[in-house]
Amino acid sequence: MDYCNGVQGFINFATSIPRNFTRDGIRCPCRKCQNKKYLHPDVVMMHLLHKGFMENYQCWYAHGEVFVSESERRMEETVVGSTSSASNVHEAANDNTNPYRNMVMDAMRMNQGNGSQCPIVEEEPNADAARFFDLLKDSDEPLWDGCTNHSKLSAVAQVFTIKSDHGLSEAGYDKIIEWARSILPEGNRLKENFYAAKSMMKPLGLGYQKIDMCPNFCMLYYLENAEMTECMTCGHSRYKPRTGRGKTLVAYKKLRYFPITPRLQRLFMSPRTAEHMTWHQAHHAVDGVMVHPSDGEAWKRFNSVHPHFSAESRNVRLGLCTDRFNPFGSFAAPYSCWPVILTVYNLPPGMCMRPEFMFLSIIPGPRSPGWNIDVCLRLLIDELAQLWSSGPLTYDISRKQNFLMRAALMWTINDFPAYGILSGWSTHGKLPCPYCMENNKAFTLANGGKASFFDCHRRFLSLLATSKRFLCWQS
Amino acid sequence: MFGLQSGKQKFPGFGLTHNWVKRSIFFELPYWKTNLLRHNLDVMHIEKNMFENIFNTVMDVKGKTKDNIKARLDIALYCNRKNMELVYDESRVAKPRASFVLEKNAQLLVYKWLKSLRFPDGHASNISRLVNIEDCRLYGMKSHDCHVFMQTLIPLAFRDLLPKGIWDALTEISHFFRDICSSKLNVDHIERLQTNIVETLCKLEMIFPPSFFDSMEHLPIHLPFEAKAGGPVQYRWMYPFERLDITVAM
Repeated sequence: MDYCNGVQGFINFATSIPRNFTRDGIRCPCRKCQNKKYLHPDVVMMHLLHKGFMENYQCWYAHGEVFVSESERRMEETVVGSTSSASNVHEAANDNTNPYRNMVMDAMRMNQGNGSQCPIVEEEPNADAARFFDLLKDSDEPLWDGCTNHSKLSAVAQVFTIKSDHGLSEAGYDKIIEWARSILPEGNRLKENFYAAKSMMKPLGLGYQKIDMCPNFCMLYYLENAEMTECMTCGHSRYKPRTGRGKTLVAYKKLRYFPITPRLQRLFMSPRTAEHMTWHQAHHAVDGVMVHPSDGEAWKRFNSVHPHFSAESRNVRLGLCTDRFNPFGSFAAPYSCWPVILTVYNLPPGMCMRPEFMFLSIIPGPRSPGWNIDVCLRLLIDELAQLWSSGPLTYDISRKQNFLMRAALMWTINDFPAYGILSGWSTHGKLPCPYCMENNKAFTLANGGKASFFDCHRRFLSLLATSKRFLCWQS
Repeated sequence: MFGLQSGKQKFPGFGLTHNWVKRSIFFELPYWKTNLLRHNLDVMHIEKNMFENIFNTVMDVKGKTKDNIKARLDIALYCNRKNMELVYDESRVAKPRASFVLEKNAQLLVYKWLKSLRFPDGHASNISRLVNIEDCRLYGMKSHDCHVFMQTLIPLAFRDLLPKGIWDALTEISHFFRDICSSKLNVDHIERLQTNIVETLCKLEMIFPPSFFDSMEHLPIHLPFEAKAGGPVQYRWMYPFERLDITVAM
């Protein structure tokens, strides 16, 4: 009976808005028609009573209830999170709504929608978010009066994409903008140069820190050492000798560090990722079957050792990977660059190892830091320690709450040489195995000259049954 | 202080009682010492290196095989395998063919088979393109090609060409990697893998010369433990990161 009343209410609502009517009638939201057919209201009512509403049609967006139009919804699906790739941008640009606005809306928690099911107390986003409101205003402002398909933000973001995709210089960027402004209508709001555009984009929080370091990887000029001009270990000077009349000092080596906290916070600001960040706890593992790191013993033990941390399922678990690679191809000049990549293990299997959720902070070349890689990791470790002891206040869009987000590093992933560099147990010589440590019987071959693990595996053969089977094979 | 341990200064006992070089910076994280699994062995590289060693040795690839003259000298020193030791004539030294090395005809058979091989789309790169029959070599195998070869092709390629016992052992290694790489792991099954891999490695020890067993051939023995502690391998290996590196380099 309640359902009949509800259907009647829907028909009343739908017919009360003249925009819903076409020549054939109104859209039918029943399970079968799925808003694709236009039918007479009476027929629609029959359909709804017989077949019921289509799934997830709580918000009658096709019948004039919502702020988000249908095409915008489609758009939201195309633009994934804050990392919209170039193809997405083009796809979205063809449609006449503005994906960048959705991006800011997501960031802002402005897309209203289905908040009503949450039983928990809802909160306003914290003060940090205020900067985003400026961006939102920017996004709303059309590029020139009367422009329908571009806002200030979308224009700048797209030119930025082109700049980075094609390695355009700053001067080139400025020239192109100068030209573009000359062909745009009078009074357009396109930012006049790269500097202005960059300061406009800054509140998005995609910044990085530049820190000078000793070219021999001895130390960072950081915190209490920030003012030093010579390395305190090797004595190498910090700056290159000045040439000409230039006043700026140029450091020999700079480390670029991309802070991880704002990027983790952004995962909670987007509705598409926020709800998945608790997947690791929500999923029901079948006993004895592992499909995700959260089913493993290491994860479970971590939970039991740190109950305070595991009590909040939104706390982030990270994995760290570092690997040597040559950005100029294997045949180019020897150049060894060690990108450090963090990945988020909270996410479900389908999202877990996607490039969108890997966060990068590059260690510069051209030489490998070797054992001194710890110097380069200093900033990251400091930030991780900070994230462990007291997390920053973060707004979770899926529950509309502020919470203290903490993070822990679960493990690192490396090839074998890098394993040694990160763990401190050298993987060369006669004791390369970090599990057996000093308990293996590896020896150096008299003629081959290399360490060999020959005859080191018999001691693992403990079971009688195995030995018997083994003897059988031997014969 | 970090980074002070240069190549010359080492802790006493280095290489004899321990292999420590430094105290890792990760121990500054208060929870790090309680982690069960701190660093992952990378299955991708272990599998690739192991495949290359097996394939190059069995196919007797010049310069790459582990069964060289020095290995035969080592056999005389450490093993009791009379039929594999070098034979000294008056004027020359002969290296008798080992049982695990294919004859030239058999090698050609394998390469010809590889040349005609076709895979489903996206399964692996076109391996037939990598075969050079004149040189009897595979050129430009990527890590993922090694992965596919190791898991699916090794048992097929060497079947009936190698003696039964050797083929058994190689097939077991192939199955071990296939099982450990599956996206759904069963805890009981991992325990079985742990006993099996020990057996398999012991078998390989009886087949291949000592120089075959560098650290990469030893590490599979610890992989089942890591799988049990850390869950499926696909979240702990380097394929996704290596792919990301490529996009970064672009």
